[in-house]
Amino acid sequence: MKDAVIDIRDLAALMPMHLMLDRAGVMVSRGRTLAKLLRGAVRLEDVFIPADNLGHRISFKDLFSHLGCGRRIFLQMRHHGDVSLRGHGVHVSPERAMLNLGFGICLSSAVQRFGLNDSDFPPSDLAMEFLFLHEANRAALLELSRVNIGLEEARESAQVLSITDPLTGLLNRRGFDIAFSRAFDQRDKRPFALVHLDLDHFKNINDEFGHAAGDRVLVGVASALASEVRSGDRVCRAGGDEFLALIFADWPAADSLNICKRIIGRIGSVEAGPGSGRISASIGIAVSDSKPAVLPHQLFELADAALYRAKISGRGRVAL
Amino acid sequence: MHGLVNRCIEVFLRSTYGNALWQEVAAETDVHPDGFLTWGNSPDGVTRSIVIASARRLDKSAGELLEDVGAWLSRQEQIRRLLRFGGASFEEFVESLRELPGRVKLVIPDLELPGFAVLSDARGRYRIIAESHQSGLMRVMAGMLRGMADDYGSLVIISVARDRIEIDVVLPDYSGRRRFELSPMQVRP
Repeated sequence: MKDAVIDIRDLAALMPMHLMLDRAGVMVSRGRTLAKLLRGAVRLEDVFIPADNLGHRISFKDLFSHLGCGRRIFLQMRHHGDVSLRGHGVHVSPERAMLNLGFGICLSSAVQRFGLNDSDFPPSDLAMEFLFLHEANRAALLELSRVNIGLEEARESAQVLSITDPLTGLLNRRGFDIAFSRAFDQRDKRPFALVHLDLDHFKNINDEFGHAAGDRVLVGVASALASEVRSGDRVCRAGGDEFLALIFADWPAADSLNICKRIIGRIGSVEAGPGSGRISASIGIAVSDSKPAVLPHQLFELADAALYRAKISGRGRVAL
Repeated sequence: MHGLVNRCIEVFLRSTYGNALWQEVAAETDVHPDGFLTWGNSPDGVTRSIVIASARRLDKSAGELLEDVGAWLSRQEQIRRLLRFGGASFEEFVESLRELPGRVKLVIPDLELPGFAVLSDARGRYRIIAESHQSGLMRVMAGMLRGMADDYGSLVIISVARDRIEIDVVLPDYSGRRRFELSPMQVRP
């Protein structure tokens, strides 16, 4: 069917991205959409820089002779660096060639730059689907990132809760064990004292003044402990009226003794209620450079033994 | 039901009627007060009980509430834009609705939108018929269609019965059409 004829205006509507060229590079017919890009330009090279597969600049003469044989051609827009068309073409006569072009991956920039709308794309073109997908994808990703942030926050707060004592806000035993094993591994570089504190006669306070008063005392003791240690030290309520602390210092024995004496003094001002008398606490300390303690649990045993000595020597004391 | 469907109803309730109503509905239906976080599936009964509980509190029928959800969806800018990709006029939009399940699948493959047929016996008159018994979806779609008719500036009569929607486009260009540029960058206010 060599002699079928199509009206040039029909062609512009049917193939809105076509371009008919003559050998001299004059654009003799152009598709409707392409016309928006070309404005009034007459010659191809006024608006485009022809390029080969690799994006290397070629002359118009080469472009013209390369057409056909399934080769792709690229036309970089001369004045719009972000828009490059790609396509293919055939010779319709020795003097004329027809190109069919598309926006490829530059579609979004072209739509933006030339204010294209849906009537600029023929129904056979996937441009609208591409733009839809591009936008829908972005919305879905936005929603997914909201999900991710939510999950991350939930994980963090669950993690904090899992190592926090709900009454005092100090570490719980699980949290302390994590901190302790980390400290124990680095004890040569960063010596520390393990402090074991136990309230004296706490059971009597619960019995005489009730558990609410007992809880108030525990909170008071927690804040006494927390305000005497330094930032970087760790304090824990191990359960009941037992507290543990890690005090990091270059001379852990001397420094922790000083701190613990201040803690005992401060605890003395905590009251369970009117007429409850003074609260007192006993403290045992073990230091990380103690010779006999080569295993983590041995350090706890040393602190526990020191606490026992503090208790039998009259309570309200610190023993090392 | 897909987590996004529940999430959509949750956000609709929160943004339209406030957090307090959502908290009441969540407590009654045993849903987490923070709402739906993931896209995981939950039994359809959860969605149904949320719709029924909130409709009762708002003194509406479940159908009316779902139509409100659809209309609200069409007013969410991101969704409005995605819907406007369906066509240049309201009629084209209605005619492209049969492609909607496919478009949804492209973006969220596990969100199964039940199928429906779009029929037309005269110019400007359409019927949408659900393939399976999905009266809820038809209600949401009816609300969404009303919202989009507005967006396209068309005067349209829409009626919905259990599994079908009747659409009568009275005046396609009744009032001003809202702008729609293919590139979202251009619509910055």
